[in-house]
Amino acid sequence: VRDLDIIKQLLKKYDLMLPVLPFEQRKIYRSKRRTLAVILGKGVRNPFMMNVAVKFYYIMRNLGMQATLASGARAAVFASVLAVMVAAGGSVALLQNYIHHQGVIAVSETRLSGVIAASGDIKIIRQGSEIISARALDMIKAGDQITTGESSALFQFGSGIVVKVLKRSSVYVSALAPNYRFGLKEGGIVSRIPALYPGSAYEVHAPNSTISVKGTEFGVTYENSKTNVFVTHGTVLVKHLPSGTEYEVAGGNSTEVNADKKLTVLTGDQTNLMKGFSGLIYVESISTKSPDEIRALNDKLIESDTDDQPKRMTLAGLKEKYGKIDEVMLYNGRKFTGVIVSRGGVYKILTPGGVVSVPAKEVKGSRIIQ
Amino acid sequence: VKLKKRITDPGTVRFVENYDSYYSIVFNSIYSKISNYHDAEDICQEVFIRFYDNIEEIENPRKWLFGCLRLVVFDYYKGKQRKDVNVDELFDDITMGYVNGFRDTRMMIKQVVDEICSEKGDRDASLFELIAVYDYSFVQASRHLNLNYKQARYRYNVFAGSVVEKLNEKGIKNIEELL
Repeated sequence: VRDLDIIKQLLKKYDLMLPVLPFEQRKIYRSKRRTLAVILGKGVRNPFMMNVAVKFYYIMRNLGMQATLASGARAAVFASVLAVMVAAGGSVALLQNYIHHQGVIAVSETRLSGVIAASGDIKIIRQGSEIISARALDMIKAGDQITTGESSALFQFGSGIVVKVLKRSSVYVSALAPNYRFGLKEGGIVSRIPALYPGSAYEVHAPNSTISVKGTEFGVTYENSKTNVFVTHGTVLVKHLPSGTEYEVAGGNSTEVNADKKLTVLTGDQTNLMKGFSGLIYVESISTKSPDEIRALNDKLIESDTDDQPKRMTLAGLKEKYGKIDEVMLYNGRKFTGVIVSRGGVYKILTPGGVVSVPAKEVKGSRIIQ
Repeated sequence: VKLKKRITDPGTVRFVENYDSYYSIVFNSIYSKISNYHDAEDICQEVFIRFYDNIEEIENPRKWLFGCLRLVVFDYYKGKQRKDVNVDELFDDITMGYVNGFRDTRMMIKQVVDEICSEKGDRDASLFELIAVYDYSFVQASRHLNLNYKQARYRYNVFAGSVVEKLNEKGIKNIEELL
């Protein structure tokens, strides 16, 4: 200590001391670390790794370790791997936390059931017994009783329907596709219903009310340079391209598309056009259907067409159009002469007096008489 | 692979060893002359780049570095066309212009310090210079030279003892007389 002081005093007295301020000393140290990385990083494809290696080298030296640049690089690689693992672990933990609080996601590919994609605070009771630890890839089915705890549950179905059962709710899945029906016993349901295909519906039954969506059903005609839109179910968004006008047409209304946005109630013709259409539903795997089922479908199509032709015809006219005349005999002894256009649960017969509908169970028999 | 090859190369290992010993000294040396941190950093970087490029041929790193420093400073200010910096004046031995009557003593002290620095070399000399000449604390000096505090303290004391010894040889029996 004595020598130190004396030598310092000596250098100071003879003007050989060139003091550098403490903050400058720290700056120089930082410059030293930085410059080494720059020099060694020249010509290296990944100078970032060299930078990190140098940083670790100095950290280790400052900790009193006899580190070399190579050990600094190894430490850098180790730290990088560790950081990636920590980041990945953290992300997974965050995701789990998010999923837990978000609830259960169910995805249906078949529209007949759902697949649970993640676990949450949910209890499912199926046929009287509880499904233990409902989790990802578990199915939900019609008849399931879903009860949520402290997190909500989100379901998604192949048809695009998204249902969120709020926390502390109890919901009974009465039916899934095509006519979705949920019985809400307590709590709440939030739903997003896209345009449903014809014949499908979505309903929520609360103890004292029913809320239903039947999808959107609408028609468009284009005649004499005029477009007419008529809507029987749901709401459609209409855009008049020349003017750029957009407006909604709700069910039961029609419009001639223009900038006036004028809505009118459905006319008789439009109603007839749409009548029966709602009975035509999409048929899955039509190629596998039997000839009787195809015929029934065809009859239904014809039935929907006949509503568009309320004009009465004579037997000769019917014979000319359909090539035959049928006779339908009922158990009560009545007979109808005309053309059978539908044979499903209800027989529809075109007669000179108009369209006659007869339940199939009342029909004793039928035969072609001409 | 290239990175690994570079950091395990014997030339790089030797460079890093010398870099740790001399960077702060070289930096302080030029910084005390030009008083511009950024210029000093650029110059210092260039000196050590050249040092790295020639590491295989260098026998006395200290001599080489200070010789190179002069060249680099000259090139640097020539390249920048700075007329406010006179490179020759920067490297003039200021003892020559020292006129307060202690010139000989001053020259002798400087000579002793330079001699011992050349003899001891490497880290010990740098440690002495940082503490005695540039007024670094033991903590800062040890940090700059990658030593721990105890090592720095011990090495400095040994070095300071050598200085005192050398001054004694020069006929100065009691250093306090010079104060």
